[in-house]
Amino acid sequence: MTGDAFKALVAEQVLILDGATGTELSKRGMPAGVCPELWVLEHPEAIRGVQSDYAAAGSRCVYAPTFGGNRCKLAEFGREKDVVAINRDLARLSRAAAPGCLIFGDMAPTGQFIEPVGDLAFEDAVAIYREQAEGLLAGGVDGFAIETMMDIQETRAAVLAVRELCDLPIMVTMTFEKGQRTLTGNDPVSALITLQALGVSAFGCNCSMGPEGMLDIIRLLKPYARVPLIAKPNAGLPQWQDGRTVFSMGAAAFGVFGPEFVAAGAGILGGCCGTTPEHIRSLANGLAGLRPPQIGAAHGACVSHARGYREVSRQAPFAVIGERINPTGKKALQAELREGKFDLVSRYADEQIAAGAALLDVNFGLSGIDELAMMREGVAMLARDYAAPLCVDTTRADVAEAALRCYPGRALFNSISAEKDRLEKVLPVAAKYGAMLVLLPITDEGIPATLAERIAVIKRIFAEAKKYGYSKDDVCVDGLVMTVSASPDAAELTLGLVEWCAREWGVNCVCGLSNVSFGLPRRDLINRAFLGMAIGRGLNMAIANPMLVDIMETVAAGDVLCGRDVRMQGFLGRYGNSDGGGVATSAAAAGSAAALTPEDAVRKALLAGDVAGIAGAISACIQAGSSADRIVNDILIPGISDVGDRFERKDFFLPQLIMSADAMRAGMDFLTPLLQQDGVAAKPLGRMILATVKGDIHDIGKNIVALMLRNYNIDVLDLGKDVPAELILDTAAREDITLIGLSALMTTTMGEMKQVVELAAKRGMDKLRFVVGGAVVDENFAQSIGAHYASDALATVKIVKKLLQ
Amino acid sequence: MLDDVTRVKRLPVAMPVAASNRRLGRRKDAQAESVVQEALLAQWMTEAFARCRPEGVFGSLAIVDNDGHKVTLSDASVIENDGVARLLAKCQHAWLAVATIGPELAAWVNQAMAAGDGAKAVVADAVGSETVEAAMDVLQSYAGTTLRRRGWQLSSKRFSVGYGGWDLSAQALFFSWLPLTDMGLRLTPSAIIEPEKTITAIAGIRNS
Repeated sequence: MTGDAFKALVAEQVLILDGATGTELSKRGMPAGVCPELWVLEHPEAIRGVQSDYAAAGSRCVYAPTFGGNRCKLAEFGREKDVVAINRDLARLSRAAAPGCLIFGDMAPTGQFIEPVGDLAFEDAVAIYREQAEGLLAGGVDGFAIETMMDIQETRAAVLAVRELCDLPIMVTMTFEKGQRTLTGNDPVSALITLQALGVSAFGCNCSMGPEGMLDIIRLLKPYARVPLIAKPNAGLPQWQDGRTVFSMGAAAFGVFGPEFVAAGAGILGGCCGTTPEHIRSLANGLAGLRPPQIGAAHGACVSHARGYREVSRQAPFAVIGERINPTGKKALQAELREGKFDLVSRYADEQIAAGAALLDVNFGLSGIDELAMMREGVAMLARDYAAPLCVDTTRADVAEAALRCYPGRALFNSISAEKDRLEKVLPVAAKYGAMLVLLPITDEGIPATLAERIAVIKRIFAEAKKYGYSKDDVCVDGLVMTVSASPDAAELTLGLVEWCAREWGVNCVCGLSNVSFGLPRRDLINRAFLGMAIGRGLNMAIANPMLVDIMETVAAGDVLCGRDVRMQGFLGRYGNSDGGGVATSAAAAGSAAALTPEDAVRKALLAGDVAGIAGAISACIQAGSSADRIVNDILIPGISDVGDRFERKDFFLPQLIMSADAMRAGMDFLTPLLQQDGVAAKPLGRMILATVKGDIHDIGKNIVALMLRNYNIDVLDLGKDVPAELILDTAAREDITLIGLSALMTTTMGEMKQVVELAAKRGMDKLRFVVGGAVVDENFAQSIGAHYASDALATVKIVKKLLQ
Repeated sequence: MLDDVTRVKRLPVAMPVAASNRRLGRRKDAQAESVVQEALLAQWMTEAFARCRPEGVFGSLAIVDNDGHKVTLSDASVIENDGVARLLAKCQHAWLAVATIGPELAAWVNQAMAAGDGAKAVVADAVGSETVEAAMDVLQSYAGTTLRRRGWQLSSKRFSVGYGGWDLSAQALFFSWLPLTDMGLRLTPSAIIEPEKTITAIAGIRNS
C-alpha cells in the first residue's frame, strides 16, 4: 500500500484498528514473563484466534504481534540475532490470520533511552528499527504502526528507519500521561508538528488513559493536524482489584465514544489495554455510517522543539529569530568556536530567549572550524538545554543533514535559493526532515534587480519545493534586505516584496533587518523605522537581535496594531504595569514608595527584605529628623517582630523571613556607627555553638539558623556539618560556651544528638544546654535526650534569646 | 551490578515551583511584599533549576525471602527494615533506583550561603530537593509504565535509605547494585551519598 492509497482510504472511511493483543493472548494461554513474539511463533493458533476475532468485530487494520520485536527486547530472551526472521514470520502469521485486513508492522520503544536522555546513540536507534522494519517488509506488511512511544527522538529514529527503506504508510501513536506529556516530557502538539513534517501518514495517541482523557488530546491536536488523527485508548483507567490489574470500562460504554472521537477530529480508532473484540465491535457499530473528519490545520506554519512549538504564521504574533549565534563579526564567539567551546553560544541562547526571541538562528559558518561537527554538537546542545525552536542556517547540504537529522523537532531552514547547488543538494535534505524553508530570491547569476524578477525567482524555488510536498504554509520568503546607503530604493524594493508575499501570494515573510542601515550613523533609528514600515506591509518574522529593546518594543506595538496580539495579552503582560512612559514595574514601585513617609519607607524596606534599599531609607529618615536610637527601637525592632508574627501566622514564608532578617542586619550595620556615637550600641546577646551532627551532611537548615541568630545579634560559632561529638564538646570547653545547637535531617543521624548529650554528661559538663532541631526531630525526642526543641529558625532565635538571658 | 540496569541521563522534570514554595512554607495565595521581592524569588528559583541536572538509574532483583522484618534478595543482599519488608510483601522483585541532580546546585547553594545570601540559598535548596524528588517520580513512573506492559505492577509507594529507620549503611548496597560511580556519585565514610541532592528508592514489583 502506498502512502497515497492510505490517504485515500482514510479520507473515505473511519479506519477501525484492532484492540489489545497481549491480554487476548493471555486468555489463550500465554503465561506471564515469556517473550510474546516467541510464544506466538510457537502457538500460531493463538494469534490467528485473536486477529480473526478482531477482523470479525470490524477491524479493518490489525497490527502484527511484533510490539517487542526489536533487537533490544529480543535480547532479553537471547534472540537478538533473529530479529528479521521473527518479524517476517510474525507478519506472515497475521496476514494469514486476517486475510481481509490491512496488516501493519508493530514497532514500539526499545526500552533504551536515546542521547541525551540516555546512552543509546540516535543512529544506533535508527539501525535497530531499520532491522525490525526489514523483517516486517519481508513479511509483506501494508504499513507500519509505531506505537506507545514515549520519546520524540526515539520516534523520529523509528520513522526515519522506515522512511529510508520504503514509502509505505506510517501511523504513529505516542503515550501521554496525566499532564498531557510523555514520560520524557514531549507534548502532543509539538510531537504532531514534528512528525507530520517528517512524513508520517497519521498521528495520535494510545494507551495510558481511557477514552475521556484521550478525547481532550485529540481536540488539542485537531487545529494543528494535516494528517489523520488516531485514538487507541485503554478500556478506562487501570484499577488494582484482588491482586490483579483490571480495566473497568465495558464494551458498550467504550463504543459510545466512537462518534465523539470522530467529532473531535480522530479518523482512525482502535483500542489498547483492556479492550477486546467486543469493544471493537461496539466501536464499529457506533461508527456505522459516519464519515471521517476533514483534515486541514487551522493553524498554519509551525515549528517545534522537543518540548514545545511556535506558530509562525501571519495570524500569530511576530516572531523574532535571534541572530546572535552566528560568528560573523563576533570575535569572541569566533575564538570560542575555534577552541570548540560553546559557553558563549549558551549565553547568547539564554539572553535571547529571555529577551523574547521566538526562535534561535544557528550558524557556525566560519573559516578554520569544522562547521559540520560544530553544527551537530551545537544543535544537540541547544535542543537539549533550551526551549526554543531552531533556525538552522547553513549553505552546505552535509551540514544541513547533520543538524536536521539530530534535531528533535521541526526546524526552520535558512535558506533555499534558486542556485543550482541549493536546489539540487540542499533542498532534498531539508525536505527529508520536513524543515520549514526560508526561500531566498537569489540565483546563480546573483540578486535579481527588480521586484518582478525576485517574485519570479521565488515562484521558481517554491515550484521545486512543491515537488517534495511543500505548501505555502511550509515556507517563508526572505525579503532580501539591501543597504539604503548603496541604493536609495533598496528598502522600497524589499517592502514591495514583503507586501506581495503577505497581501497577494499569501505566504510568510522574514527579513534580516540590520543590512538596511549598513554604513549609516545611528543605525538603530533606520532599523527601527524600517521594521515598523515592514510590519505595516505584512512582515511577520525578522532575523534580529532581540537584546535591542527598541526592536522588541516595535514588535510588541506592531502586534497590537496588526491585531495579532489576542486581547493584547502580550503587550499588557509586558508593559501593563508601566507608568505610561515605557518604564516598567520598578519605577512604578518606586513611585508608590515615594508617597510613603520616611519612617514608613524604612518599615516597608524591612518587610520587603530590601537589603539594598534599607540603608537609603534609613538615611532619608535620619535626614528627616529621626534619631538612630528611635529608628532601632520604634521601627526596626517592632518591624522585625511583625515579620516574626507574620511568619508564625504563615503569612510570610521562610525566604521572606530571612530576607527581612538580612535587611534588619543591613539596617543595623548602617546604624551601628551612629549608635556608637550616641553611646547606645548593642553588645551581642551571647555566644553559642552550632553543628550538624556526625554522619549528616545536610546543613542548609543549620546554616539558616546561624544566619538568623547572627541577625538577632547572637555570636555563633558554626562548626559545620558531620561534626563528631568530641569536637563539639572540646570546642565548648575551650571557648567557654555553654549553649549548643545541634541539627540532623535523618532518623538515622538524629541518634547522634543523643550521643553528644550523653558524652557531655559523662564528661561532667553539667552547665551545657542543648537546643536541637531538624526535619525529623520533634519535641518528644528533644525531651527524651534532655534538650530544648526548636521547630524552625525563628523558634531557635526565641529559645536561644531566652536561654541567654 | 544488576543485569537490567537502565540509566536515564537527563530526566524530563519541570521546574517544581509549587512544590518548592510548599516546602518553603509559602501559602498558595501569599503575595510577596514587593514586586522586587517577588521577582527575586522567581529569579532564584529559575537560576537554581538551571543548575539541576536530573539523572537517574534503576534495576531490579528477585526477592528470595521476606519474613516481615528482613528481606533477602537474589544477590544475597539483606535489607533489615520493617517498613521495607511491608512495602515488598507479596512482591516477587525489588525495584532499586537512585536519582540525583548532580553537584552544581549544591555548590551554588554553598556559595550563596557563604556570601551571606541565606534567602537565595534556602530557595535554591528547596528547588533542588523538589527537583530530585520529581526526578525520582519520573523514573518510577517510567519504570511502572514499562513494567505494566510486561504484565507486572510497580508499587506507587517507595522507601528511601535514611528514613523510617532504614540504616544509612544500606546506601552501600545501591553502589553494589547500580553504576553510581559512573554517574559521579560518591559514598562518604559516614555512608552518605554525595552530591547531597541524591536519593535512593526501593519499591515492589509484583505480578498483575
